[in-house]
Amino acid sequence: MQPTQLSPSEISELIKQRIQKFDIKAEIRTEGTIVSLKDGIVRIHGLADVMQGEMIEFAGNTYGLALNLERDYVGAVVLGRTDHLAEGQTAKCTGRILEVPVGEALLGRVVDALGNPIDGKGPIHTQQTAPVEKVAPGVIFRQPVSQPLQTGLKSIDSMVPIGRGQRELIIGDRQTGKTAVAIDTIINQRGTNVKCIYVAIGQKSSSVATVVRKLEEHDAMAHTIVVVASAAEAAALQFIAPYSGCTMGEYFRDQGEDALIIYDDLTKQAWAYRQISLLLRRPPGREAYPGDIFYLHSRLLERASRVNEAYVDIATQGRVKGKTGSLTALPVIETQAGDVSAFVSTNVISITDGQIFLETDLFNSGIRPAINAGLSVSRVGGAAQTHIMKKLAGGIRIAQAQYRELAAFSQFLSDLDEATRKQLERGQRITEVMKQKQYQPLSVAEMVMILFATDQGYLDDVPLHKIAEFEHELLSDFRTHYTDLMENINQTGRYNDEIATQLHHVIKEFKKTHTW
Amino acid sequence: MNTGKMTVIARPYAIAAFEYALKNGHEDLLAWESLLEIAALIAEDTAMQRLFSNPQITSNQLGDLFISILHDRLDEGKENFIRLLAENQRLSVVPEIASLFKLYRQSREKIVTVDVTSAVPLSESYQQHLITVLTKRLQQTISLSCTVDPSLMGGAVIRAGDRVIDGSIRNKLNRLKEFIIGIS
Repeated sequence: MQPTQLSPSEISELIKQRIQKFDIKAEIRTEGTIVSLKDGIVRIHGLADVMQGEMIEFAGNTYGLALNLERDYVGAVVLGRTDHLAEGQTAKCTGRILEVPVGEALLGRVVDALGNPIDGKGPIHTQQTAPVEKVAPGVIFRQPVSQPLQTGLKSIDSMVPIGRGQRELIIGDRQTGKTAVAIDTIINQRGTNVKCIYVAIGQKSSSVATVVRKLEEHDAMAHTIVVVASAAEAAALQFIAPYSGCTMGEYFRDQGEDALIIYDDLTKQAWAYRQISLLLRRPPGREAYPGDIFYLHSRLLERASRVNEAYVDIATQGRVKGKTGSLTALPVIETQAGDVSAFVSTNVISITDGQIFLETDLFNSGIRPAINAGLSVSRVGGAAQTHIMKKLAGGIRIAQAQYRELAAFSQFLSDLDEATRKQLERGQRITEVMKQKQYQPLSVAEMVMILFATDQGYLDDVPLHKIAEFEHELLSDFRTHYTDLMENINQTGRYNDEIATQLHHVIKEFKKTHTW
Repeated sequence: MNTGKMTVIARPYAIAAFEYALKNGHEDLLAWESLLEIAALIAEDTAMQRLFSNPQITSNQLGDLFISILHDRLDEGKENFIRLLAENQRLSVVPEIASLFKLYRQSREKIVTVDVTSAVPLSESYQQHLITVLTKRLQQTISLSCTVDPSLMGGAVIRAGDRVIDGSIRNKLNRLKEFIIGIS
């Protein structure tokens, strides 16, 4: 049925303009015929000069992606709905590789895997587009990771620090707070000029809506693009969404800016790709994944990088000079019953520069974020950690891992020697300090303050269950009375005797006036 | 146009027959082509189709039947080809073999069949003009086949293999429609 009301695009003036702009030259195209159509996979006869990965145009403004080029056929996946397509219809080559819009105009928007807005805020005003599949920058154009990317989470920034341009995997079972870590990281990028892209793959639309609402509540949408390929959308869109998001992030990297991209999650993308591959009759391998499942993720994550000034200079054609760019990736992988040795998880672990391992047991015992200190590592982030954090948090990860083992072992012992008892108590206190509520990322100075207090033994006379309260009071005291010191630490990130004395002073003054 | 798995099966036969015929010169090439075209007509006959699927008819009998119909056009090579097809139970793919054979001959002789569909019949002189223009563009000898389709409303659609030059009014109207509907 035709709509009975006029839509805003039906103003005569607009229609007139459009008719004027319309190009009336004869159309030259290469065409083929749809031979079969099933499960979103189209087999097309003809299309002799189609390219691998080219967009194919079907009837009704629907596009497909050519994935299998065979002798007589082209196998393509349909990007979108297929109910209006039928056998015998023509399919046209477009001569274009799949592209998505890029640019500043996308910030604050929610888009689908092809870059079309889905948040009801009208069209996105950007002229620039970029291909979805790009080759990662080469060796010559790379620079080591040297700047920190603050997540605002004490446990991550102290134990598994992340640098700009790093790929750090967030891995864990369902309901262990993987998305929470990612969202807190996005929220913490307020005012840091780090642009964020959150790619939701195969998730419930309701979960995505919640994430978007939370980001809006915490003022974090202004620097964020959300790319959504929900569980209801075609497998092809779920497969392509991370690449689309990456292209949008690369735009900022190539402009000499810093960007952060979160793929939530790559397990579901691998599932979508497995579906497409099996339907295209590619041979299945381990766990029925196709042979190129490793390449699927490696080529994606390789695009997250820190590039040097020369690269930015070339990418912007000399407009931006003397700036490096970075794209930090936080891929998410969901494990089944803590099994990290499944196919996709081992692949992604080996590609990334470290992982944050979240555990159900820790989560249930109230340690949130539920980071397993022993299994989580960051292979390059240490070089990027701020000086002061490195000084104060240096041994925490190893100490925590040892404490966990000791704690498990000590349950069998009746009386402990003094040294072991001390170690246990310190471990318990650090565990307590590492707990952090959701949506409350901390600045470097705030983290330094509480870590310093722990390190110097100021928490030793605070009962375990009062530590959270103590921390809260201490930090609000710090925020209100010592803004200069805070500024100083946040800006310079240096640690020296003077700063240490000041920190001692703050805590001593605080402890004088408070009881617990 | 050939579609389906049959093309895959027909291809090796068509290539073998074409290369065999090519050795014997241009005359034989045409003789082979006309033989295959007639054999294709026979194979497409409904009565014949029933025989293909009849389990009581052996493949030898089918081969004999083809040979008896075509006997005045056969030499040793052609008869062996029919027998081979019968033996491998591939007589039913003769139509595909014939069209592939034709395609190979045309591409060898740099001939391309161009289908022109127009809203009104094309005049003789205009057809000549089209041939000159297309020869220049495609760098091949053009064999023109014209059809009339009033539903195009005006203009013409030129089709050479997969390549299509669509200058019809119908297509322009369709594109105008999508252009106006679509969000720029």
